[in-house]
Amino acid sequence: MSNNTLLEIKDLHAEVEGKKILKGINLSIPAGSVHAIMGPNGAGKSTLGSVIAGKEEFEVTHGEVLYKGRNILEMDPEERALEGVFMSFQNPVEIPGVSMPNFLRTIINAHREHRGEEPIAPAEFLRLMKEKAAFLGIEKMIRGRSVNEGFSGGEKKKNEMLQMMLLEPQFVVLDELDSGLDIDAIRKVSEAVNQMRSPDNAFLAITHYQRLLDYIVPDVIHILVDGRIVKSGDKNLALELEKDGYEMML
Amino acid sequence: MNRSTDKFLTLFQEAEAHLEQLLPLGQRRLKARATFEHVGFPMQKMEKWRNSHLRTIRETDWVFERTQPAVDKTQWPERFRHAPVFVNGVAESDDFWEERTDGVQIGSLRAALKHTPQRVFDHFNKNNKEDLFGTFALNTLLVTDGLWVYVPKGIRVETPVLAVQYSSGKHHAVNHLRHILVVEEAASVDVQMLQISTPDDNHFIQDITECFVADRGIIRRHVLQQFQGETICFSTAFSTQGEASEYHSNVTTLSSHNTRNEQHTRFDKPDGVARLGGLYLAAEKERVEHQVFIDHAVPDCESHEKFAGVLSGHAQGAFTGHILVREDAQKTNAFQASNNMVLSDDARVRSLPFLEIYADDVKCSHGATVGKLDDEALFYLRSRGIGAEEAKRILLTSFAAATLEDVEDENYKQFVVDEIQSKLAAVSQ
Repeated sequence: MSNNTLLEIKDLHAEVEGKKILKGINLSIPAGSVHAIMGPNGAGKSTLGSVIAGKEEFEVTHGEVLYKGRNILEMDPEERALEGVFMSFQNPVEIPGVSMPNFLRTIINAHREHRGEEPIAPAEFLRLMKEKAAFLGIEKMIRGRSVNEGFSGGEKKKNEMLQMMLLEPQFVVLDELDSGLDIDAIRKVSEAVNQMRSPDNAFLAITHYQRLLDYIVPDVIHILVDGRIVKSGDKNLALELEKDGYEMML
Repeated sequence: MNRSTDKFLTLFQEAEAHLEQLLPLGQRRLKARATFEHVGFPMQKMEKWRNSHLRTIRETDWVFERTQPAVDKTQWPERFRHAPVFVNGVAESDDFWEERTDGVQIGSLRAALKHTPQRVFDHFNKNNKEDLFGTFALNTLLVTDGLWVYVPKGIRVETPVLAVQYSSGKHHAVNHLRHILVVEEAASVDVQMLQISTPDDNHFIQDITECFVADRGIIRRHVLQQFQGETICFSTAFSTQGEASEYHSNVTTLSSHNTRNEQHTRFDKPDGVARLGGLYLAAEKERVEHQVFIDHAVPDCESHEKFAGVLSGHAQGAFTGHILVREDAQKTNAFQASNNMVLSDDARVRSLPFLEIYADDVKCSHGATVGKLDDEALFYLRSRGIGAEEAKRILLTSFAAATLEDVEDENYKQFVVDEIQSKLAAVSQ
């Protein structure tokens, strides 16, 4: 592991309900980079994201996920989040009755408390929330609404980006960020990601299609097939895929 | 005659003189005695009593207590510490009575009977259905006092009327109260009542609230129940509504031993709206039940029922929602929802919608859910850095608070949400 590595996955095997999904993943993601995982449906892309975020229904049978040198598989999901790991969900869940502003303030304060800071001042919170929401164009809809409730597909993804911008995580998994989005929405969420890119953080973009990678340009692309990374390369790999499809990898 | 009926008749005989001294109802009690004898105390096998727990009532030798205990208010929510109190069925203050210059009357039923007997008897028992269940006649038989609120035509009472129904004692005493709320044409009032008992309490409380909402009037009734000890409480509200009137009822049960809440609503004229909500948090071996009966007797009225329960331990909950839409009640809108969250394997909940519809142009819907906490939502919150316990509490609070959506008084709503939150913090661990 080089000094610069933010996330390292070592021989990761995972299964759900006895079905083997990940069959030995090795991956090293340095700070300051964007890696993309592409692959056909059922290859295990989303499972990889969920295992990193800490979803309990996936059982890791072998391997490690080292984040800043610590094995996060031993941490609760909330601990991973507080340490700077963030996943943008493919299908963000609706939570009726929990208002957006309350939710956002709660998660911001959870992170501040973890860092030993005072809770955010109400005025500062409002300013920050408005600023980020305005950037994403969802300023109106987060007022008086419950978390993700009645949001369109695009609004849900923008809400994920809003949380990402407010929490400023160091390692971000983008699980099918482009699914169900029109081209304007893809541009907007990509802009949110690109704005956040820095030498200190890294992104893992999970996607089925190449088009997202026109906007979030990756440093490395990995092709995941049947639970294994079968090929890695630069951004041109996506173009090859676009031309020939996943068939050539099988 | 069943055992309970016999027992309560004997109790009445012993206490009659004292009861009459407290609240002189004269012939009304004797008439109630005849009805009670005839109808009898409810029995487990009766359709609408199947989910109630009657054994303790049947097996206990109930007494009537003539002395009142000192009241310890330190355990009460701050909001209610200065409110008038009914201690074991009788107002703490001998002359709890206020008559405002605008004609609004707020006081005890005992005082009202002295100050305005005619008006009291114009309403007393007019909504109560003595011949439906024996419990209702029993209430007239044993009633000692209650809250009296009268709002004249066109007057809107801005400040909520607060009261406490307090029960304390370990000698198996009965407390029977009758609250009467009257709003005349285009008048309105918001009544908020805390029903609370002490940890050593083992009384049988039966309170009946008769609500009269005249044309374009509004009654908002809020009850917060916090029973400790082994208190048995049957709490019933009857309401009748005039044209374009509103009746709101919200009953939140934070803790209980054996509680049966009933609501009987009848629309007498068109364009009335009734919004009925109830929430219970039941842990350990607590039992809570809601019985709702809505009588759409006339056209163009709407009723909304939103009930929810959060159950843990060996708790038992039940909801029976009976909607009757009579033949003439066209353009009725009636909605009913009963949602329950069951947090343990041993908790039980029964949800029984009961729709009886004789009109053809109506919209009626009912839904009942029984579920556990949503794992996806829990994971979502945790993945944002919220701890597991806190995440559970957030989800349960939001689920529970949904029953308070129709509560207009934001202060009361926030107060109840805070109470729910602190109760859930204990339950969800």
